[in-house]
Amino acid sequence: MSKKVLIIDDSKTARREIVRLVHNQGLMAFEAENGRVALETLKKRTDIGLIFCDINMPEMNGLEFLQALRADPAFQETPVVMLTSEAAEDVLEQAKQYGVKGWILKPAQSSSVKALMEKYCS
Amino acid sequence: MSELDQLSLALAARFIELFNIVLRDPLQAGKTAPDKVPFQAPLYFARIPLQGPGVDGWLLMNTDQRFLNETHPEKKYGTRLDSADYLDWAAEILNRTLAGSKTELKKQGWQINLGLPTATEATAAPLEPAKFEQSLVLESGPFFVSFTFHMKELARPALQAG
Repeated sequence: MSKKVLIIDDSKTARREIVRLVHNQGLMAFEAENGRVALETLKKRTDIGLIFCDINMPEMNGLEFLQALRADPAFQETPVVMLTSEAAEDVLEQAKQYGVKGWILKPAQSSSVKALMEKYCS
Repeated sequence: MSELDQLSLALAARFIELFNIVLRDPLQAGKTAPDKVPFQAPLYFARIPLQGPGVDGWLLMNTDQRFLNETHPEKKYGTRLDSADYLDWAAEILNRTLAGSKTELKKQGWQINLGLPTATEATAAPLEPAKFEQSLVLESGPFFVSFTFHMKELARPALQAG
């Protein structure tokens, strides 16, 4: 069975952009508006194969989410790709410390998202 | 060129780039005065904090539903959009504009910390008086956006040596 995709972004518009691309690949997408909600979603699901995560969010931002995610042994290897509107090297370096697989600049290019899903969700 | 002018140009360039493909004609600046923009109701207002060393204020955006509808990523799918969608999109536009400008602003010596944008359906929310304020209108045909820098402090830190 194909893995599912989790999209974390406080903007519904931004989430929908990725959701459409996920659906185009025939995969199922789950959404969360911040890191805290994402962690709650992950507690209920064991079939998330790829996470797209925004950086700048209220309540729990992307870096805080990454830290919490990797602290859980069940999710230490779960692929995470950062969704970002800025190519800020300092932020991305911090994210790399938590084992992110890469980042995508918003608005996300369909080819980039598709390649990631093919790699991690097949 | 003043520091506000430089900030303005950097952000305007990023904003124009964001919508180059979406709009039929590229957005242009300086054609319509900020107080003469023919917005059509309903109107939307969004703001995002501009914070960093030597920087304290807000970037404000005024626009109308026409612009938000025309540029919304869901428009091409025929999705029925509502006020909540336009509010969300207005906030996300500011987020992408400021975040996408950070690299250019850093080259100019500004370190801007990205805050969280907010949006309301209104003309403008009252703010305390600003020490520096400058507005810029971008337009493409019937689509208009007005940006205002509303700053309590604006003093570029000295560029670091090396």
